[in-house]
Amino acid sequence: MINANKIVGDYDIVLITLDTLRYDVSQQLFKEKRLPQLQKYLPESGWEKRHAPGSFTYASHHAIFSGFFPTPIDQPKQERLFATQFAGSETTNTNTFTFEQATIIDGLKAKGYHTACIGGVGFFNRRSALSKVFPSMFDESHWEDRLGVTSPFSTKYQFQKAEEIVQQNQQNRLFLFINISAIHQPNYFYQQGAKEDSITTHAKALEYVDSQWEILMNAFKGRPTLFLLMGDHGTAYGEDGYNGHRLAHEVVWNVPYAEFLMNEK
Amino acid sequence: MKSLPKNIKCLVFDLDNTLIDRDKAYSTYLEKAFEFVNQPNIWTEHKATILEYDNKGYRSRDTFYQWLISKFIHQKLFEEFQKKYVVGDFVEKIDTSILQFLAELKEHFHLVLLTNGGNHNQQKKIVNSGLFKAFPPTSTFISGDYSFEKPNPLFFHLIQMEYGYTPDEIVMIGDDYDKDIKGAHQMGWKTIHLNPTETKESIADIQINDIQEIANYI
Repeated sequence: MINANKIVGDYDIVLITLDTLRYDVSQQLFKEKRLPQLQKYLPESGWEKRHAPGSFTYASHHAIFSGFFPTPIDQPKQERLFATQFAGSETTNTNTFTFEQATIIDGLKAKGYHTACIGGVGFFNRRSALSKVFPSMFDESHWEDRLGVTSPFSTKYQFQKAEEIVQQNQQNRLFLFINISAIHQPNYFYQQGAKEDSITTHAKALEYVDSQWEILMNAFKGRPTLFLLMGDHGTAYGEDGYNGHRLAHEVVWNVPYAEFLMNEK
Repeated sequence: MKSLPKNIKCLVFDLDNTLIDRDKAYSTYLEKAFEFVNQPNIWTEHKATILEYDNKGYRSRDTFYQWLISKFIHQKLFEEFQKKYVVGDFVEKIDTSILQFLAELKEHFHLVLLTNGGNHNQQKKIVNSGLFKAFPPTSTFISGDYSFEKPNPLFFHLIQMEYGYTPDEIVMIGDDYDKDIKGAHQMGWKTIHLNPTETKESIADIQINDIQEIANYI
């Protein structure tokens, strides 16, 4: 288990939410070796199956930003990496970085981190009061059309933006948050000839994200970094009559999770 | 004589058998492979059959290599060879007149390379052929860096997205009718088909037999 107290201050921290990514799809692709780039960093068993803290982006991210990452299914009381001080918390221990502030972002700011946000789905586009809530939490935030859900190349541009941010923060410890938008609907364009989103195009979207992964890894080359990857919620493609998310179904609440260190000190 | 519209800003080139002689490089690659596995005589004897089955690279590589191993070449040693070398290692420098021609085109148009293949192999081809002078990394798109390739519309759309060109401002130049010409045509790009084997009923705007013939149409 990673001791977050040995990370904070000495490592960059990259928190990535793979918006809408389902556990079953991500693990299937891992088993079929269709994620050749991510596979280099994931454990041999692949993605960890966890329960999302919410059933849609807004709810989940409020929880995630306060340290409530998706919950381990087999050990729901497993200690968390980051936690805001909360009397009676049963999921913190000596490995948990505990902060006074209400969010990880403010907690890390207080420790001298420069915080940056790269959106993302609509909740990060700053086009309404609601969609300014998350970006406003960070020292800097970025969103433009080509980073959003309708851009087939969003991940490439998101990771290139990350490269810029890293370059501009050579002297700073960085907390970088990226909300990957590619997998969120619409994703039909990742399958040649497809006219509608489906579980197949959802998988193709993840393959696209994987193909761009090295851009991000190269950006952090040589910098000690903790990477946290997680789905914020899944989505339904007709299972039991359900479509979409913000609903309670196992394809929505089961999400993938992974964490790893790069350039360990 | 046909000519391309005056608003063209970007010329997108295919690589294999458009700007470089992929077939020649591939033949050398296989020759070296048979030497590496100590079966040079098999290459000499069956070269024509093997290259015919390669079908100028149009056959899937999986199918081709399975066939090659089942009939001719020592599997383990060939796999060792494949770990050491790629086809791009055997690409020769292209004719100086073509590099000069591309340099002249570059004064008037944005030149982009759009190629299917693995990154390492295609990069080797670009470097060894000398094409890196005309196509810097910022103007080179290799399908191995993405999860899609020609003729997937996404790969063509990437060029529009990257530079902000509209479809009527781009011309695709390539030898592969299905991947280059049909792929670009479906995006609304103008197309120049190099070395067409069938000249009738083509959707290509222009057909040429030599890359430098482009000059006649722009």
